Amino acid sequence: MKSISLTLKITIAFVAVSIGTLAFLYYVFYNLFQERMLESEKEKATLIAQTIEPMIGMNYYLGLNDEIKSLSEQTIKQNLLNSLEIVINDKELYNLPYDEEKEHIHVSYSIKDPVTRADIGFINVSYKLDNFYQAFEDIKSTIIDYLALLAVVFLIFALITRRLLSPLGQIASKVKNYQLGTSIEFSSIRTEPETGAIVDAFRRMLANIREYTVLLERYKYAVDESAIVSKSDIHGRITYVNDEFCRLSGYTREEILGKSHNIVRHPDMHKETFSNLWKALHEKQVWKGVLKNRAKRGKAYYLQEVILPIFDENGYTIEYMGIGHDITQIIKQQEQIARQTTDLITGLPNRVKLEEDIKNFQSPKFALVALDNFNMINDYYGYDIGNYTLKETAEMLQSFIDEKKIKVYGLSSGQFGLLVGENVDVTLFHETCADILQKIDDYILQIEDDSFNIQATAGLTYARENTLSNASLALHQAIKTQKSSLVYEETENLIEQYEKNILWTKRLKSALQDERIVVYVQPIVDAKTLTTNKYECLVRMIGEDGKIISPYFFLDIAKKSKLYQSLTKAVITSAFKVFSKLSEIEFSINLCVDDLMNIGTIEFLKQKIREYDVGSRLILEIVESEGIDSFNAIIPLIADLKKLGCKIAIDDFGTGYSNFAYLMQLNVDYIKIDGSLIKSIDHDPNSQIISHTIMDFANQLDIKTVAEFIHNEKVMAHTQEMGIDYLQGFHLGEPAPIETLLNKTS
Amino acid sequence: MRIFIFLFFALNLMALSVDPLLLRAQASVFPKIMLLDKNIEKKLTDNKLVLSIVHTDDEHKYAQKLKDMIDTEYKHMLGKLGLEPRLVSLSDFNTSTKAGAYYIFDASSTEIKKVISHAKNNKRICFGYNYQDLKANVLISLFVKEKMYIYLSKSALQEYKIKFTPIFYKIAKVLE
Repeated sequence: MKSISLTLKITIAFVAVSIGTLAFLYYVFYNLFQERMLESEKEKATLIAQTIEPMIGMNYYLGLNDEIKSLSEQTIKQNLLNSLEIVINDKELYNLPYDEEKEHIHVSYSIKDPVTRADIGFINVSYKLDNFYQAFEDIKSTIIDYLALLAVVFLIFALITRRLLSPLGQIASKVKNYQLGTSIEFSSIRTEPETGAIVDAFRRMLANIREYTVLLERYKYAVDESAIVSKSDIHGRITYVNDEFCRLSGYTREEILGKSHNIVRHPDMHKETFSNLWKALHEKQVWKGVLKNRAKRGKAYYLQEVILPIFDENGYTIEYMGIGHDITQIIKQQEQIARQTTDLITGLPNRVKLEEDIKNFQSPKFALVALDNFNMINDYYGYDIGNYTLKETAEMLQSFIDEKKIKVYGLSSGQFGLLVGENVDVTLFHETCADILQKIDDYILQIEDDSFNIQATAGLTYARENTLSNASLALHQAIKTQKSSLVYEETENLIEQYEKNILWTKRLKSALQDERIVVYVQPIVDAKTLTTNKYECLVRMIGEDGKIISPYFFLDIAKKSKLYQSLTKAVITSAFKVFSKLSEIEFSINLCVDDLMNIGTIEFLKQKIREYDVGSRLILEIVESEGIDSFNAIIPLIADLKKLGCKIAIDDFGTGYSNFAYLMQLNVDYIKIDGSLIKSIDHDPNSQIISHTIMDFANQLDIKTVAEFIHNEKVMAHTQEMGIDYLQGFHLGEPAPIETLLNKTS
Repeated sequence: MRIFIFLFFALNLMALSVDPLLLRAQASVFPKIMLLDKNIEKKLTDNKLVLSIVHTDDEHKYAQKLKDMIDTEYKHMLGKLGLEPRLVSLSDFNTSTKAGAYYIFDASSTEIKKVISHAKNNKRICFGYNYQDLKANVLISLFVKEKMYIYLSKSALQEYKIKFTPIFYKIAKVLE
């Protein structure tokens, strides 16, 4: 069909439509008109029968049979009938012979008695169709004449159309040979108004093409100058690269053209990326993504790349074009940012990321999970083991937690953060945190040949503001109250306490700076002789107003604010200064587990013992010894200190103490029975039983016993009766400034 | 004697100019024409079609013959109706003579005029033996030549005011 000219197509269309219309009309005419004409002929035949029937009936009625014959013959003379038969009362009155060769139609009509109107016979009329066929033939010949006339009209129409459309062919011929950058001369073409409009349209189109070609050239220039452009054939072989591509990759055009794109593929790139890329291109879609390429000298560079298939006019892919932008700098910055928001030990998002993420939730739910005594792991096993513990714990948490619901963060000092948003309700979050804590509790950390359990405590908060500090407050309160977890809302006075702590921290720092930390001494009396030859050194703070402040108010603050060691050192220095001048008098100072575990404090103590030569008179009272988790670490320390002549006392020895075996290993010299047992020993049988048990235990190990909290005569008498070696309490002597001892001796 | 015989035949010829063939045709056709009268139901006598054949004494024999022919042809029944041809002497004829139609042999005599007049006044068909009598206001007559012709007087029809079945007018030859 393409090769058929428009002229012929129009003519054929016109002919087809005309013939179709005529055929349709002829068909309609032939079927309807013929039927109607036949019907009409039949009506004529019937009319003849109707006309003669009354006369025949009447003639027969009147017995005028000759008239019937006469009438029949007259009817036949009209030359319309092929035959006529008249039968009345089964008697054939007339019958004209039937000519079978002639086309005809039959009509039978009843003859009625003119008086009774009863059927008495019938007329059979055979009507000739000669006229009908003649009329039909006339119509046919008329149609054929018209068709012939139409054929002539069509021919003329085709010639006129051909002449009218010939300029279109000339225009097409000129446009077909058009090439970019050339022009087309239309002036030689004869133009009608319509073809003139087409020529004008082509002129405008050519002008637009020229304009867009220039524009495209400029775009190409702009892209080449601003982007990294490459093209490859359908087999992936490079067919074009721009200068920027050469500059970035380090390859010259000669080196890279014809090569596969794999030449710049970086080994870090995943196969999946390229599978997806080729899948998209084969599906004739655009691929967008980031490619990490390798330059000639091995240096990596990143491209934000758009790769698209280029199609020919039939829609087949003929080449691929890649347009990329160098985002190496951005990627490096992103990596830098990632590093800044990542905890380097665990690889988890860090506090910076946490604070960002919290801002993204309307109602965050946050849990600050701290590994109990993590600092001890660092101090005792070293930072490598500490880091290993954190990594193992982080991996365990990640394997346990659905990260789509709960985000895990690695925070400082053995702390982890768990953050959820609106998609997890409070109850579920609480239960999940409990599960996590249990998981950590069940987790056994394997370090070389040793293994140990770790435990964790959590502080939870559901507040969007001050999320971290609220969780931290809840965590500290949980640790303080020895709960596995606590929600910030449950600690209504936390802020107040926190503010109070800050105030006391300031006051303590100020007191240390101003040397307002002083030592008080309380006498320890021999139970049998009631003579004083020992003193316990107790710390006191002199307030800004000169009032003496009990350690009850600042000792915990000192521990939390890391001022405790300074406090211990201040006590050691002050006590040693005085007792170095008081020979023969033994004295004790208190050391908590933190002191023992702090190498700096222990070294300081050893140094001062040697400096003041008080080792033989010094009793080290270990307080809170129930908190000693690793006696293996303590035992060598104690041994070292005993080598310097120090004696060891266990303070507040009472019901909570269970590590009797370790106590034996500590090789202590004194047990100070918990004041809570002593203060009611005169009337409480339980206190008496426990105290007796401790006494028996101490006697068997040859350890001296000290009863604290002797606050009246009855208690003193009871303890003396029990056989306790030493007594201490307000009844025997209240704490007094250490300087008073100097005054006594002097 | 010759004169007597001549007169006898001459008188016979004058009196008996009745064609038996024609008479038979009339006996066959005229009763049927009676039935073509659209108002024939109103003209029945004792539910019979009565055709009064009015005759002179000379015509009595032919009248009787006509009656006999009719009786023979129809056996007193025409269709569902009874048919009774009655012989009525002209001298006996009066206005009380009831009939559905009248038949006369000759309309030339003065006396017969009263029959025609009576028929006309009572809208009864008056058949005449001789079609020439149509000029004398006889309504219908019949003539047989090579075939049978029924004659109808147009002027008489207007006076008689009788309406026939329409096709009858196509069959009958209407004389002006």
